[in-house]
Order: sequence, then structure tokens, then C-alpha cells
Amino acid sequence: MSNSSLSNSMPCPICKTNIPFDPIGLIKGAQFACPGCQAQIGISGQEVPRAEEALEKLEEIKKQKS
Amino acid sequence: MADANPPLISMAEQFTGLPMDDLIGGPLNAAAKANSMMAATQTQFMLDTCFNYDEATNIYTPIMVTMTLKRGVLVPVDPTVPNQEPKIDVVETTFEVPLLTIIPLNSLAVDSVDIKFDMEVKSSFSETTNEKSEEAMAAESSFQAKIGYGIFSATITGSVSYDSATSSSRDTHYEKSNSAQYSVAVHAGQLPLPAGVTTIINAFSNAISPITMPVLSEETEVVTENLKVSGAGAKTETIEVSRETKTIKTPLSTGKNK
Repeated sequence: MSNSSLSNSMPCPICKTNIPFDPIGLIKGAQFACPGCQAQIGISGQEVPRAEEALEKLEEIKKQKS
Repeated sequence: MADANPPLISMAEQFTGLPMDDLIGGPLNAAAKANSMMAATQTQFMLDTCFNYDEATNIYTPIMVTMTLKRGVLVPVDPTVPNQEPKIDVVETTFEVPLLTIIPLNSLAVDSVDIKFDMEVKSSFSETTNEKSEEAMAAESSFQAKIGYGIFSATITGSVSYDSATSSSRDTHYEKSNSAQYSVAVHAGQLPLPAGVTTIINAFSNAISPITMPVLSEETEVVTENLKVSGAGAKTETIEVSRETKTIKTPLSTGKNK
């Protein structure tokens, strides 16, 4: 994923370096690498459908309200 | 005929009586109401989607999502084996975070409200005068006369006509106009997450880090003395003194894993 869309960041659990990430990409199962220690973080594969379902519900609410 | 230079209305006076509070506040109030409704919807969404509800205990338990963390670990080489290449194994660590913490909830808020109010006051004066006068006159007459004298006779015929026309026209047009525009732009930024939600997320985030359970080894005897005084008003009737002794284990050390 390109860094231009990575507006959020979280501290790496290992080296505390900020890992830029995209929340939507994270929910859809993308893995994000720590620029400090190259550790990769993401949602476990089997959890992606549940997170995507929650995101779809949220998008549905947003559409109803807009 | 009207005044050649009639006064135009004052633009400033026209704007003075405008209900600016309503004009600006109305749309903002509408946005605030929309935000409020969205907050309620957002809360319901959180409870329905991000929590499991136990009807027996009336407790909402957050739905946890498993995250994976993969990192390379350098495997130490066996010193007894010569010419070994260093080997890096990928170790996967899993931990759980609440679903609530990874859903971008705050994007539901109204992030921009632009109110553009244009008012045009037009003051104009116009005068048109058109005068037209036309006069026409026509007259015609004829006559015939016969006269006779002896053996002579004569007939005289003749006609007389007269035509006259007079026309005049005057056209005057006068127009004067003035206009003004007034524009108001109000912007409301994105609302942050409510403090309570942020606190919950922070609490969950902090709870991810493992802690070391306290080691219980020392036994300590704790003596508690209870003093019970009973009576009415300033008079003391009974004083009971009881002593309770129990042994507890106290932790040697506590702390977080680094």
C-alpha cells in the first residue's frame, strides 16, 4: 500500500516506531510493515470477514445519513 | 414627471434588519442535530456491532479481533557445525484488540458545513414618457351652379378641399440601478471521538501489554481492631472491642514486562 494514503499511525509493539497504516486497508486484511524493525502487523486472516462486516454496517449507516 | 435624480435606497439599511442569527445559526443547528442523530446511531452501532450483550447480566463484552505480528528472528547458528549460513525465522505473535478500536467511527461526524448566503438588493428607477399628438383635418366640398341669362347659360362646377395633419412625439427613458451582495461562510471542523469512547479505547490499548503477576510468598499477620460504641445522645451505653487476626500473602514485586 502506498504511503500517501497512510494517514494514521500506531506504535510498533516491538520497537515503538510509528507504523503508518490505513484503517480501511487494515480491516480488509492488509499487512503493514514497521519502518524500524520490518515487523508486519495486520488482522488475522480468519478475523477479516467479521471486521469487514462491521465496516460495511458502518458504511451503510453513513449512506443512510448522507 | 418624476424627479430627475430620485434617491436610491441605502444598501446598509437593507442589511441591517436581516435575521443573521437565523440565517447562520439555522444551518448550524441543523448540522448539530444531524451530528447528534449520528452520534446516537454511532452508539447503537457500537453496541450492536462491536459488543456482545449478555441479557442475563446486562453486561456488554467487547468483540475481540485477533491481530498478528510477524517479525524475523535470527536463529543462532550451531557453533559446532562449520560454514553455517545465518538463518532468519519468521515468528508470528498473535494478540487481541477490541473490534471497536479498529473501526474508524469518528468519520461519521459532519466534517464541513458551508453556508453561503447571497443577498442582492436592487434599487432601480425607471421612467418612460411617451407623448404623441396627432391631428388630422380634412375637408372637401364641391359646388355646382348654373346660371342663365337669355340664350346664354353657364354651368360652373368646382370643388375645394383642405387637408392638414400635425404630429408630435416625445420619448424619455430614465433608469438607475444599484445592487449589493453579502456572503457569509461558516466552517465547522470534524468532531473528535467522545472522551468516553477514547478512554475505553485507551484502556483496551493499555490492556494489550502483558503484565507480570505478583509473586505471593511472604505471609503477614494482619490484626484488625474494631471499636463499636453504642448509646443515645451523649450517653454511652456499650463499648465493644473486638480483635480480628488473619494471615495474608503480600506480593514481593509487581510490574510490567519490558
